[in-house]
Amino acid sequence: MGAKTPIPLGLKAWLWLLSMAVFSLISYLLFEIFDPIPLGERGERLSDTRNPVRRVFAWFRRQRRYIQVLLIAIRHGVGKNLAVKRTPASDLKLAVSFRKTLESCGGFFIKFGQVLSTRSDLLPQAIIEELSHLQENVARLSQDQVKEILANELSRPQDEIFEHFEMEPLAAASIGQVHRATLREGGKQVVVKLLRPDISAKLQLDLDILVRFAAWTSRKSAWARNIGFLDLAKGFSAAMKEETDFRIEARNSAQVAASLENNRSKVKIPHVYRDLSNAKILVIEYLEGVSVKSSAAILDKRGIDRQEVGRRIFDCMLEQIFFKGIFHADPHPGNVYILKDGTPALLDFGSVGRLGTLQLEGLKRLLIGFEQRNPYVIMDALMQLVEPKAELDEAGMEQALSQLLVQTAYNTAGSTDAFIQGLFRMIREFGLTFYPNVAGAFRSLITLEGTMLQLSPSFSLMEESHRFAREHPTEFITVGDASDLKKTAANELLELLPVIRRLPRRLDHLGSMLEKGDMSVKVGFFSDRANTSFVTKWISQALLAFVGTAIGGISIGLLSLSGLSFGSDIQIVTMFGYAGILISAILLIRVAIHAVRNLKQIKE
Amino acid sequence: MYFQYLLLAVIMIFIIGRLIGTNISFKKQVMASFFSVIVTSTVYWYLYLRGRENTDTFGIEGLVMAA
Repeated sequence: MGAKTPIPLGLKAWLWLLSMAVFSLISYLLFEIFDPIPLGERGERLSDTRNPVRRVFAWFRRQRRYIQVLLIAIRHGVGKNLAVKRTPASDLKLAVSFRKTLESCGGFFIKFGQVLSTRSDLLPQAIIEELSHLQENVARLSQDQVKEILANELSRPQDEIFEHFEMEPLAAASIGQVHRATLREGGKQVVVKLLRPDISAKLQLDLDILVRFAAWTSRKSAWARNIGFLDLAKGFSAAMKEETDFRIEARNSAQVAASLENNRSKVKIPHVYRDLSNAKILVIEYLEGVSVKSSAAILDKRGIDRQEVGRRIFDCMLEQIFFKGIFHADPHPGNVYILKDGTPALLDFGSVGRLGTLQLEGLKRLLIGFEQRNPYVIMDALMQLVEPKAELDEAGMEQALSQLLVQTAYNTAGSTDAFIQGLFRMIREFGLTFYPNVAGAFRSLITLEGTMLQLSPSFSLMEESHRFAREHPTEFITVGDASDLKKTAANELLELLPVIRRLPRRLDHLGSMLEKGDMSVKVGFFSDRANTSFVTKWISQALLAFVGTAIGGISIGLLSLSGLSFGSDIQIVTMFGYAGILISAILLIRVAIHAVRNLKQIKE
Repeated sequence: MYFQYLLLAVIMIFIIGRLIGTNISFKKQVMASFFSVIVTSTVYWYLYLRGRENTDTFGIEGLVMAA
């Protein structure tokens, strides 16, 4: 070994190839470090375009708009007002600066503000009032644009479908505008809803910035974090994306209409002409009527009982929420119409909520628990309505619930509102969150209360809910009929029978184990798969880093022993040294690449 | 010659794919391979020319002298 080994021919070529491999790894590491696009849970790229040049331009556009939005927010003092303690005075200041910011940003920011103004369950009254003054100032589409949309999107020429089409829109909003028209077939009056042509790009940009703005606000303020401001923005963003596809609205409308077929409340759902509609055009039945807001005078003039009309709307909505599981998510006054004969109608099914059977059951139990003032029933119901949490102080929560029930008892006026507000606050304090669709159902109820108050100022959500529950005893098991109770109890018992049968045997087995002292409990940190994979991943990374460093150290030792010689008289020790350094570099770079990718992955 | 470089780059794509492991971006893998082939070849060519500048007329100086 002491003798000098002659250099084999082509060693430099091998060295070149090896250094090429190492350089490739280093280049990959650099590309990974300087790539700004985030990765999803499974390492997938969270970007919508494949073209890298377009992506870079889009990134710059987003940055410019984001900086613009942030500067507007800072100029109007959002950051300054967020950073102070929340008092009624600071809430008012924040509300004004927030409204001004949304107004200056325009577009979907204004719509977001309008949606927030319905969230009295989350936001202070000052902010709600200020945001309700937001007005969308949207430019109408020109006649040429309207003609172009009709020519491009209708399956047949406009004249073949419509006998008459009014170019002057009935209304214009940020997503689209509506026109009145008459169908050639049957001469039926319809409303044609057109999607704005530039909406997709604008939506993408604005919603992305809105979510980032919400993230910035949440970072600045614990209060914004507590009310789930970021989740609100994300929910709004998802809803908006749905609303820009009219096929979804057509489907929603058809589903709600089908679920309410033969319902007692007889609320009208406009018919959708699905054969004439597509993603960008929606053709629906024209209904002659007025918004709930201006219906009181007309109803009084015609001698129609306003309370009765209100009940029909309310019962229809509650039926959707508690029994059907599919409900109109935004029943604000503009979406509830009263027709000429006093029949109520629901419009605009762009936003619809859906509840699973377990959540329906949970909502029913919540109403039962509230009526019975029983914190245990409410607690059971809540567990079906909130996202699961590993460590929950259940005893503390039951105490808080019983306190809340006492606080809101014997106060009929506005007690439901106080109860719901208190419930939301308590849920937040215990670190729980409602499933988004359940929160949507609550939001819908609160919006509905506002709409009902427009129709009848004496409306009480609590009293009407009681009445509704009394009118549907079999579903709510709240009152009266002993035979119903007996039947339900028998059903419950039948379901429990197999468990009850096994119970004595199990108790006996447990008792004998305790007597013998054979009882043992297994507690495993690694029983949770998340813990196992977390620890395994980091241990393997640490091991690789350690091995890489060790090999590097040994190699440097070998090279220093051989005096770093390289040339025609290369020794075998030197070759091992260089090979070791190569392996060490590969291992360490590999660890670094995986660490960078892990850091970039967005953990939901 | 260009085909040989291309072949080298393809081999590099395969090698670094195996060395880094799963869950990597193929596009970056390709870019890194091509980049490294170009850079290391340039450096080695430069070193080769420098090492032979006094003896080989194939160097820049040799070409200049020949002209």
